[in-house]
Amino acid sequence: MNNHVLAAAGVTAGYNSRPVIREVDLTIPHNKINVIIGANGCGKSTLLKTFSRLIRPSGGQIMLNGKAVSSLPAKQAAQIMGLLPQSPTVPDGIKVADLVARGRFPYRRLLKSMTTEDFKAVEEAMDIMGISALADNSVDELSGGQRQRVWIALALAQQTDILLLDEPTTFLDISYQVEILDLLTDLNRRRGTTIVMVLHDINLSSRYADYLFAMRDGSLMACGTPQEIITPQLIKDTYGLDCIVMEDPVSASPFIIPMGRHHS
Amino acid sequence: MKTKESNIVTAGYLRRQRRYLLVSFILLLITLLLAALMMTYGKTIYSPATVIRVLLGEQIQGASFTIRTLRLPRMLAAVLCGLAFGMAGSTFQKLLGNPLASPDIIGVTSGASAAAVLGILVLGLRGSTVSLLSMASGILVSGLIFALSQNGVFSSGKLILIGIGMQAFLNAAVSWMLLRASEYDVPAALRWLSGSLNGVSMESIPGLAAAVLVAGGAVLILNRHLMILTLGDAYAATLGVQVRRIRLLLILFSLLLVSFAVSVTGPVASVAFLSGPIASRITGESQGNVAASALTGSVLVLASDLIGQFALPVRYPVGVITGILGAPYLLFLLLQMNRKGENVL
Repeated sequence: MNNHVLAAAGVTAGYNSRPVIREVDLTIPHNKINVIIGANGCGKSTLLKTFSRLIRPSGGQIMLNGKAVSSLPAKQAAQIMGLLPQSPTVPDGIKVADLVARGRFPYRRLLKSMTTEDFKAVEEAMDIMGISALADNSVDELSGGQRQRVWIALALAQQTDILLLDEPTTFLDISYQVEILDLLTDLNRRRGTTIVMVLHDINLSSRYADYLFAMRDGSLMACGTPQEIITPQLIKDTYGLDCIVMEDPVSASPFIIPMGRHHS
Repeated sequence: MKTKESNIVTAGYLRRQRRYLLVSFILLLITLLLAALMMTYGKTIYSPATVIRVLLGEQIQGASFTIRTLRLPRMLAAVLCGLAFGMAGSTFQKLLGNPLASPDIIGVTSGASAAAVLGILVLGLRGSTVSLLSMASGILVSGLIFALSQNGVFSSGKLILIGIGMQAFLNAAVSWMLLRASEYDVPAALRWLSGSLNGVSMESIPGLAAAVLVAGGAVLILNRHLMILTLGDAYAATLGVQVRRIRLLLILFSLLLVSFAVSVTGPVASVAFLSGPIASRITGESQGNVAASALTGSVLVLASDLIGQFALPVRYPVGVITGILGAPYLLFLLLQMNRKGENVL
């Protein structure tokens, strides 16, 4: 279990001084699975990138345990908070274990080789993701689902208490989506890792999330447990979509059924 | 079961690391061997014992001049410029994520070369002033290439195309200056167009050695950061790399290496372009391979110069031989990327 508190305090951020999110105030509940939802372009990814220090806020601060994250040394922040970006680059011909081992970078001393502790972290991360048997394979040769597990293993080897993931299930077929979300749930339950992720699928989000953050036009619309906030009105407000909300027969979480011009 | 699997992970990592170290060590041995060959072999063949005695300061009629004044600076220049081009080339290729993005393809070496020609033939400068001028020009040209490729959306493909255009322009400028200068002669022209070790004097060695030591050492130390940068800026930042600062440092140190080497030997063709990919292939690319790339550079220059001097009916400068090696690889690379359906640029 960890007690790192991540929060945004009046954060305005965007690209080239054009703000995408405006004065966002929110606190991420620790030890929980948090999912940010919202329509394309609403600022979900920007919020996540601002949390992970990829974008510097033009107003406000990202706070970690009450201190501005920008005041922390980069490597120290990297030991607390990790990010799985949307489209990382696979270096040519790299082997799975070697890629996962790069997650140890924030812990390594200049010119020192990997310690026993480093190796243990890599082994454990690959074990959790079920990719130990692929250790000597080239990452280029893996399927999309396997490759995503490798990237998550890299983030796990980083051993951070907070893990941010930008659409970790995009481009995966439905069985891999469920598998990745199950693995992340295991991680949260076993290690108490605080998970913050952007997801597109509202139904999977409300099934797996402890807390949901719904965004529209760069602002936070609603936050709370899926049961509290998923209503036809919220979906209408955030996505402009009419829908019916039912109970997911498997997980008892809210389940939306969209309507359209031809079906209502 | 679990522990057995875990061992596989670490064992594989260590096995690849050992292979990398072994291959690097073999490259070092080959470098030393070729360097020794270059000292002993020539029109007159001197025994290793004679070479060592001369190097230790003994005066031997005939041998002293040949070994100390002709062969020693040539060998040292070959080793050092090989190290410099090898490191700078593989660093550029990794930073820009494209094997075509080496300083000799994208016009950076031509920029350094044009300034060196300007300094030596037109302004009458010598020694480290020339190196500094060529470094300034290398920085200017790379800044220009980067600035031009920032126009609109940045892509490394655009940077490479602009660089190739820049190179053509700068080579034309070098040819023009060579033709205009009164000292025009074929060996000098060849040195500034494709690189040569002919007539390298001992005076130019200490500056080059210092540059390789300082900038090369820095690139070696930053190699682990470079490996993280190859995962993309987002990953690098989240793993605690200060992306902009590290990238800038790596580019500056690489330019320093290239410029000093160019001011001594000229832009030895294709060494920067070939060293990284060859080193990746033979080491298995598990670790950052900057040391292996550097040594591969030295082996390429030493071997090519020995071939150029002794294996062919006419003596060719080293750059002609390395250029011949580079051309087919460039074609192979383009064909292979085409086959994979990638956009080359």
